[in-house]
Amino acid sequence: MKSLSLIRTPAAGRAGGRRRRAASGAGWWTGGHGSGDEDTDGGTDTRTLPAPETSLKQQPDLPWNVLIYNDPVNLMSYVTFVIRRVFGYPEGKARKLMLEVHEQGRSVVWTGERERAEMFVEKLQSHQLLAGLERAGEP
Amino acid sequence: MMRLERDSDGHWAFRHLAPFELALLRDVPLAARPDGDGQARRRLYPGLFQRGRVDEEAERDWSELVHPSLQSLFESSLQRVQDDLDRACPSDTREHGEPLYDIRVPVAHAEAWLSGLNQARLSLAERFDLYDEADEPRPLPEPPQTAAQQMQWRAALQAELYGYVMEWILEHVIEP
Repeated sequence: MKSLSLIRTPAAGRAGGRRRRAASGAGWWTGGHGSGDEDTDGGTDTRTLPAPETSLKQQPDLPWNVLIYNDPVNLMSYVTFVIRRVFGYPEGKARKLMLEVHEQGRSVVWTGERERAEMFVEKLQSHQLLAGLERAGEP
Repeated sequence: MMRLERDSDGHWAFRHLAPFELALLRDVPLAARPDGDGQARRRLYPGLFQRGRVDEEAERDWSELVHPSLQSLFESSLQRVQDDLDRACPSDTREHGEPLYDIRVPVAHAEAWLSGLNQARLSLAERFDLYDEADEPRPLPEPPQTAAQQMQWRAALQAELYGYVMEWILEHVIEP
């Protein structure tokens, strides 16, 4: 997110400090597969079969996180406004979440059941925030 | 010099717009539409999962069901901005012999303007590669030498102007 300082020439140098976005690909869910090691005692084949991968929708209805990710274009004041508008949070909480997005690259702004989480993601995206869904507790 | 003012009759206004400022504003709808630019399109219409494990079926549903509704919403905001821009009229002042322009906008259109201006800023940033990999504004060549560099400068100017107007709307119209 930015306050307002887009136009810069090479001579103007770089303001340091804004962190990169979180590396994409981090946080892939890795559960659900057995080892496939063979049983070597000659008896019944007790190899562990790979468990069928469970789709996200088939998993128990654990909570889902609604996240906002940092981007360099959206204004900090606009992000705060959208968080207030979508979730009805007070100014202080919305600003705290906005700063978390800005400084840490992302922020969990709501947690709950999936259908409502998707509705919130849609609302955030309708204001052009970079928002998405993630199962709570995923790395 | 352009001024933004909140009127007392349920409107806000651009006043004394120079012709080049009016031209930059009139470009909002054009700048906002990603058209054939894949990166701009992906930024305006992101998936349901940005990181981590992806539910492919849900992503397909998102693309088929949510993206069209976003597009319809974005277009209706742009149309409202366009309609307001079409009402620009010469003001009673001139600068360097040229007429200046005013645009009065109903307060009820403020959120459509926020949406239109923000769509344009996001789309311009992607199409003209205004930020580097560390999300820092990319230094612009000075002076611009080629047509492409001139277009990049213009895009950066547009993004800056649109950001300024957004800040003003948020401060003086949405939450005065």
